[in-house]
Amino acid sequence: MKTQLDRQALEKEADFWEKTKSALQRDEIKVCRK
Amino acid sequence: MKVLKELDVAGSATLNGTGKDFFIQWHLTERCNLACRHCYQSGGKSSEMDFDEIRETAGEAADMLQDWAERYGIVFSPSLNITGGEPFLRTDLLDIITLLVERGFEIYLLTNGTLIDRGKAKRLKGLVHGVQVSIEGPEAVHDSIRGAGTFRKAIAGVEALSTHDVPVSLNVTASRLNAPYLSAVAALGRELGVRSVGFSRLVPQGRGAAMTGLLLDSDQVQNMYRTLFSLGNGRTKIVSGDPLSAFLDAGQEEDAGDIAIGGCAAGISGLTILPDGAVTPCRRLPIPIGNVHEDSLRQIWAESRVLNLLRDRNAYSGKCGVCRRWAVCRGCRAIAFGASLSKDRDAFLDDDPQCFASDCPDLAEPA
Repeated sequence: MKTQLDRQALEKEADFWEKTKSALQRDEIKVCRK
Repeated sequence: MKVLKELDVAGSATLNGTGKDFFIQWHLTERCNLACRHCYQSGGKSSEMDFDEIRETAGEAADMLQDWAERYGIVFSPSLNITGGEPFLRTDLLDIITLLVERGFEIYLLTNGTLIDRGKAKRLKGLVHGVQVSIEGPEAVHDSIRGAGTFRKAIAGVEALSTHDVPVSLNVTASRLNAPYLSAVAALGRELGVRSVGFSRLVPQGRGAAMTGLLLDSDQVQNMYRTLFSLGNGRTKIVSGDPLSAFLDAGQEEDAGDIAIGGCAAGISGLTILPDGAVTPCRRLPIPIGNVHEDSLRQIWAESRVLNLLRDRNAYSGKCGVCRRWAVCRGCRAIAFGASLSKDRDAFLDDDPQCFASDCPDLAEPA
């Protein structure tokens, strides 16, 4: 049985993506693909 | 799943607004028919996921991206880089690719090209978004790095793909072994009519760890990109996903902030899955952060200590942590890690030793 996302992990995930989304809306970005 | 923009396999993605590139590099096998001198892998034996395990993991990845999109309002452009070892040594490769396409992923295939014939090329048409073939220089240089006869076989693979209108990119790993010949590869790419020629830096990991002394120095890296980008883009584009390549001349007056959004993908826009299910931040940064047989990808993404350190500016040491470009660069974490190992350190948050930025704030100055 795989580990599943607990509440603490979900909060971390949300924090990461909300901050990223906010930054994405501000800037154009370029990411390395390899 | 919505696609935002055509991507260069060997290069980078540029997105904005609420669009976000997210890619998984999936190594289906460690087996390889070549033993290239500079490879960031060491060619060891490893167990391989079977077709059903691949289907399960692909479904999990697709569900994760779908849920992220719905929950956070970000439109992802999900893609998979499928590679090895040499991926064509998996006899079920084309079945796997078909399965992954059905799950909504864009597929890019990374290969040495030597096992591609017209039959395989025909089957790839319309299935993959691109195939990246590694070329290291003119024939003699390429063969000295990848083995005798490999250049002609790789070019035959490129020609077979082109015959069937499969988009092809060439990719070069730059070191002192081939630095004088990089423009020649760009010219070769144009002659072959490929979509792009991409340039990466040697990563001193795996077999390539023995080539640490052949890393280009920072001035050579800067001059390399200046020269290559001065060639201009015609039908064949000159590309690089190297974070350093984006900052050749322009100074960075304002600090780009503390949220990592561009540059090195490790920790921010991708994961790597190895043949045995191990997950790493990047294939060239071989630090295990979980295994798909035991851990959910989503749990790894949220909870991995390594991933969270990669996202934490205060955790970085030396120049990178105080650099105004931290949010959009961070150098190549894999090269930083490999270089640190060569100095008996184990520090993936060290400086990128090939960075050529000359406008760093004083190290004593707070970020």
